[in-house]
Amino acid sequence: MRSIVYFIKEALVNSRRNIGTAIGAIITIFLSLLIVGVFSITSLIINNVVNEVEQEVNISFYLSDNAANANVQAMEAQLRSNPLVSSVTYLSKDQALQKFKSMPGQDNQNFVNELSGNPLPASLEINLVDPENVQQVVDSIEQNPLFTKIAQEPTKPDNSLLYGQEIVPKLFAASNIIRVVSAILVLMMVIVALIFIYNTIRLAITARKTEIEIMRLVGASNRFIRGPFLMEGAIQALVAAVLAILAIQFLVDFGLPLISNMIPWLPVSIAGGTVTLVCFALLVVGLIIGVLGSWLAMRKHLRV
Amino acid sequence: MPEQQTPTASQSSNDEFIDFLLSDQKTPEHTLKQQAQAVKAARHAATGRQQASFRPAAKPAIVFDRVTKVYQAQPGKPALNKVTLQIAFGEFVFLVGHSGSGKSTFIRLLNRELTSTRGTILVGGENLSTIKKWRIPYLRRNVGCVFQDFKLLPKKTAFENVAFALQVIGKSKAVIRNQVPEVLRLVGLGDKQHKRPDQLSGGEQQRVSIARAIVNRPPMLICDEPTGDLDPQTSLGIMKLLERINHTGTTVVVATHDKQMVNAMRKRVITLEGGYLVRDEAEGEYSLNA
Repeated sequence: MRSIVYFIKEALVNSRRNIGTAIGAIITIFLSLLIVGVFSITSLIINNVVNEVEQEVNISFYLSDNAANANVQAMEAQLRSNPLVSSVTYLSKDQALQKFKSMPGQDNQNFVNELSGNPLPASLEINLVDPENVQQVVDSIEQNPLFTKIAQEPTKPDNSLLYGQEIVPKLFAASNIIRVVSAILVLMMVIVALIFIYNTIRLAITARKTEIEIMRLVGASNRFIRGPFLMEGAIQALVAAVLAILAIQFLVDFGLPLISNMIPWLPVSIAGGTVTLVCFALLVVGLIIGVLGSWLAMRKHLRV
Repeated sequence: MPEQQTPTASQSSNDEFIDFLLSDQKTPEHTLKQQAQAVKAARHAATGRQQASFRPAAKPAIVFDRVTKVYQAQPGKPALNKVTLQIAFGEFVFLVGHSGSGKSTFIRLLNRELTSTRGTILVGGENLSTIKKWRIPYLRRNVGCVFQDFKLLPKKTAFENVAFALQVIGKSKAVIRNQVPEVLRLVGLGDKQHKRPDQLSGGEQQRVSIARAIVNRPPMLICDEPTGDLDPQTSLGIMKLLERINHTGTTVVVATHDKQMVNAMRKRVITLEGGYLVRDEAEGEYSLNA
């Protein structure tokens, strides 16, 4: 216990004596952790966006105006019982018209007013548990005997079932690539940060190799020599991690809203819990790197 | 002076090895005769060179038995070649030789910075080839080291440099406050305790480094070219100091090529040449052709 106090005191005294090196190490660790943190959070946000976009893949089942209510309800019930389907909503002709009117972008309001009657069909809007199964669900609908009875154009199933046939496979391919690439980038940044931090600590320790040599010569045990250096690494890493966490919180609180205002059509956001988790991970990783890096860098000087 | 060098109780608690070393010091008058005999016998053994089975009356401080050291970089040319000698407790020994004769290797083998390639080295009865790694720091606490380049920490004062040696082996503040000023007075720096190395002359810096080496009162002091960077007058002062330390019972080994000094001091001189022990004389002279 007395030696722990001694280690902490020595670490603080040494940091003050070599204030330049200490600040350099803290800045290096801080920037490395910040970059890793920003990359992780960006990658998580991208993942969120990709998930959201994927969730928008659903099936619109256009119904014939003459479809019997009983048949439609039977179909709805069967779809609900399908484990791949998460929800089914019936959209009447009127609701479809209202939805069309309120769609952004075009001047739909005037367009609709010039029409006589309602050309839009009623539909079943089908959402999926996992959007990647869209083709399976579509196939099962087409094979259902009720399909020909209620579909708008039974002979051309592609016209009755709308689910972005062309873009869905490309979307999934792209989103998988984005996930893998962002994960690899984060991993690379972690490795770069590790090497960066290790080198900084190694330089700081090499600069004091006379001190270590003298300690060895006067018979200090390795534990006693190592203690203050490990403590110093831990303290510096801790300070740097806290700075990185503050910076990341700042970016999430103030930077993220700016970005999401610039691209309102993408759901740029991240859960507060996830940010906390990332921050905690940074703290732990920083501490481990600080202590382990010091340990590794000391090894060479402690060989007897 | 002798009472300053009497070992304290706190030191002897380290381990039995230290107890053993210190027990030899506690009664210097009593064992003086024995030691003198041992010195004689050791010299005899050293000049006889290959007689390794020889047993002296008292346990010697340092034993080299056919020690060979080969560096990996020069596999064909051993730095030390079958060196056999003994040094008794309380002896003052000069180790002389040209550059590359093996002096530094000899010194570095003594504090286990290096290990011998072949042969046995005993320091205070401890076999340095088989010593456990965790015991090496304890060995070094019993072998004070002084170097040509002083190896002082430039940002610490004389007091702090000496205190550092006690701090890192876990001595309490009370011990430090008590022993450091005392040892600095002993080496003649009582009034310069709070000067940094760059505010001290070369000789004074070497005195600080000697103070650091003996503050823990080790039974042995080894010096590698302690006067190598100093002028003759200052060197003489350092040598007198080392002699004074020797008179308190500490075994002193000094590697040097300071011819005048060696000849003036009339001490035992061990001469190395090309890794071989070529001479070992009781009141020797520096007899290499410089």
